[in-house]
Amino acid sequence: VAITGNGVLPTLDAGFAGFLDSVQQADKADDVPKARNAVLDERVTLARATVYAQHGAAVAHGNVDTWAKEHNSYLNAHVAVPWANAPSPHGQISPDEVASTFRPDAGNETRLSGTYMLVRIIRMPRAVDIPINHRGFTDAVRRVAGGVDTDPADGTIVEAGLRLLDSGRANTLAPRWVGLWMEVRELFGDNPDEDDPSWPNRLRDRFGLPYLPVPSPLEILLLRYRVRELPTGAWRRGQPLLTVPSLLDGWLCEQFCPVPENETAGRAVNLEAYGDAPNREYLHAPMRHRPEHVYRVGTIDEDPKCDLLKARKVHIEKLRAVTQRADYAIGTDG
Amino acid sequence: MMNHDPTEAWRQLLDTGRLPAWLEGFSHDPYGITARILAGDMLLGGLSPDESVDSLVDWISVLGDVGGFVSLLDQSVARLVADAWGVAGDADRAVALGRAFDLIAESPQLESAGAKLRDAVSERATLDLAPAGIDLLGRYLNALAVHQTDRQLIPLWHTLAELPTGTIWHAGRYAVRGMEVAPALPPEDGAFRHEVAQVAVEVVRSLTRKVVEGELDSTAAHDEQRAIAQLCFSSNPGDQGWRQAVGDSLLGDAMYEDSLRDVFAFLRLPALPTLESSSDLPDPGGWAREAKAIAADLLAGAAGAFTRAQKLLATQRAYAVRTGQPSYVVLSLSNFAGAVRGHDPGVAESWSREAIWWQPSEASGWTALVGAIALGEPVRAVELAWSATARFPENVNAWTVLARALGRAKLFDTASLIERYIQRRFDESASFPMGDGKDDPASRAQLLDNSPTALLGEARVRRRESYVSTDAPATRLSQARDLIARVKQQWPEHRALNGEAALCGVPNDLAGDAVNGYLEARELRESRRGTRIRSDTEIDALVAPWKRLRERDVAATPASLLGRGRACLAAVDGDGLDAEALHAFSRLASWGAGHRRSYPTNTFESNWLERVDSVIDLTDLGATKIQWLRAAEAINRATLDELEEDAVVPIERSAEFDPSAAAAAI
Repeated sequence: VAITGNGVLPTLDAGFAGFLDSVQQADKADDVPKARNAVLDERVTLARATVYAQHGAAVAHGNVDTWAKEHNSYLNAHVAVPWANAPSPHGQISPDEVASTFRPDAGNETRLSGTYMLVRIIRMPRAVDIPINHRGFTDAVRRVAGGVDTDPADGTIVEAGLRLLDSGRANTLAPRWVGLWMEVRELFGDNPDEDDPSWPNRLRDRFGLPYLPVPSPLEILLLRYRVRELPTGAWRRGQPLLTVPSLLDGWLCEQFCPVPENETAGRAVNLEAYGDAPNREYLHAPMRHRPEHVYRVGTIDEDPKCDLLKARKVHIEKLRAVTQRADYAIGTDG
Repeated sequence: MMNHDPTEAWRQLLDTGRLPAWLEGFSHDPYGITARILAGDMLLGGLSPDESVDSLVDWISVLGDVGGFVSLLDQSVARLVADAWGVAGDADRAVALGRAFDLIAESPQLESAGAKLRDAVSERATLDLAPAGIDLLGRYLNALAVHQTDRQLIPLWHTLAELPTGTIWHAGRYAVRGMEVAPALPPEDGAFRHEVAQVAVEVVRSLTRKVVEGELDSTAAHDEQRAIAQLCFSSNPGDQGWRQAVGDSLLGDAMYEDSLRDVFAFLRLPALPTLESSSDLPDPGGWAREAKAIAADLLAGAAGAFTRAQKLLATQRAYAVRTGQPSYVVLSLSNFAGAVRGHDPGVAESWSREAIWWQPSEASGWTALVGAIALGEPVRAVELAWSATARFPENVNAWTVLARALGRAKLFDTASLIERYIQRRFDESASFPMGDGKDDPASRAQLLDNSPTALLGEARVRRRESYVSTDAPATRLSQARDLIARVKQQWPEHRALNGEAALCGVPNDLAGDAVNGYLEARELRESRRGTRIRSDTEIDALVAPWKRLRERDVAATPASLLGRGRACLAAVDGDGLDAEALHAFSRLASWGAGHRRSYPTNTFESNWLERVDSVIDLTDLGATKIQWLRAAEAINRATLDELEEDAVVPIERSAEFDPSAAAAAI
């Protein structure tokens, strides 16, 4: 039985639609969510889908690997565009300096109060990102995140390291994935000693991050900053460049699930399969982080407790309730 | 090739019955899986392509070489680098190659891949073909830095620190990393590393230059400068050492001073002293006598001499700030440094460095510095002395100090060579306390194995000897070429190499006469008029005869500079030519200004300069003037030829000058 949805992507090429069906039929757990998302995603506009098809990503692929290859190629050309010839743009930026995610024809912009705080998880940067005094940086960032009796010199080192990070390997226009602080704040105390000790694993689960299985404990940075600090776009009348994620904004990832077109925020698949509503998630344009954005350092050291297909099933039920779209994903996930 | 299934060993180590699919695949086809991960076609656990590579690094730390994991990965990555190198212009290949470099940079265990990077150092220009934005060359250099095994790449890091045209704006950070990771010189091992600070300061200067040249936004440059300075300082702490490195770089270049002081504000570099009162400048009339007396007392260790020295220096510093005339303080500092170097070399070094700081164009500070460190650091003193002779080739003191430093370092063979050179070149009978012993092989090896400056210096002096010596000039030129070949082999990127090689490149079959040198240079210029010059090496070859002309006869300096500038205007193409032309004309203008100060009117030279100025206006020399200069040179060729001839043979005026007759007469 063919999978059906309101997404525009399969409508551009019958071969691509057939390919997505075949992935569904093959029933391979890692691949099925990717095909379903392509059929389901209502957030992809016709304009973007056309570019995707013109890039050769929406055709009758032989297998998911070749689709992934073309999808990545599209991302490198239109979304995660390398920007190494200059520091990535910041402040108020022009449409030429952003990923297609934020351009007017992407149609997924959303708004939040400037005072809201966002949280973003990144891996502890490696020496390849901060070639000079990497150890000094990681030591300083751990102390800064601890927040107690911080030496001003640490802030200087962290600031310097973040500048190198901004303009090195990570210097692409790829949108940054964030969640809302208000939806995770109960995991944190006034200082790190009072935090829920499992917060890194729990955040990974709540935001549906693909850090699994972890071959060894994975050190992460939790960054926290306000919406009003985000880059803005003149074509958005000075509003922060903040959007709802779609399939065309990131790598093909089985942990992702798009939201219906009437929703004003993305929703992360909760790998704990727990809670009333999935956490909201957003994308914003690259920005310059500062030492005061470094909120915590922690370690992901456990695999999720729930398998992905089960988590997705629970997620879609909650999504239907939250968005009042009882029919959403019926044709893909049943 | 593995002859057993490694998956069982991995399962045991991980204590699991099920390995990730990619790892199962890797056991059968390590190259194929590695290539797919690096290309971004296989994502580990849904991670992004870059994070998948990071995850591979984690797997290296977990699995190590159990089941041959690291070995298989190492061989695969090395093969991928070799396969993708020549096709880096293809965007997808370039992306994969970039990730391979990142993986190698993070994994010292990948030794074969690291060796592949070292082997390919001379082919790195190919990486420039990669699509913009991938920064393939930068990522290569970053990985190369981690896999250094010796000090062979030191010149590369110095060259990179200058951010030559074509390198990405943030390549300086890789130069610093390269120097940090390179094995330290024995005296700096485990201690403050001056050479690391030096490279960091070079990068800061280069970024300022990029801003001045309009190639880089000032905010971006400033952020990069501060980040490099702060991170490098925190990993290589030492206020005094950094002040010295920055101080060395501040020498004489106002363009860089503000940015260096700003970026390194945390060092609290000493501010320039100022006079408390704006009126009543002190009278310098008696300073020379007073300084001489103080120097004699310092030498004798007389009580109170040091305090008197400090007092005089304070007055002279303030005078220099107010008037812009530092020669008094420079002279005192140099004299005092020479007087105390025997019993207080630290103070001597500090004073001589300050003298250089005030007036880097004055040789006395440099010679004093060499003297100050010659006792404690004879090898470093020799290297510095070579640099001083390159900077002040016409200054007999610079050569004398070099000969003495060589004697102190027990490098008697070269010291004797310099002694003979001084006698022939400057007609001064030099006698130095060098003894008649043989070279100390250890000192010689330590110097020549580690110092391209010293090797090039030796080459330079042997080459110059070949011009002025009647005793086996061909042998001397051949020795110079051998030394150049050694530098080429050990430090292929050395910045002075091309110029020196070009100077050695033309057979020296003419006697050391300026007229011959001039004819040779002029002939080359005219043969290249209107032709395209495509590389720095070609530019070096074009100007080399003009430089040789000056070395043959210092009196031919103005002709040499005029001819050299014209040679660059006459050929076409390339920013390097324009810069070289402007450089030559600027030096000619400086030479003229100096001459006019000494001999205000009515000398042959002042009249000659007036005529040159009327044809080629030497004021306001800048990039915007180059087209005007080129046109002026083309229109006034005959006049300029006459002016050159006049300057080469000022006694025979141009009316009587016949190039072919002159050549025949020799």
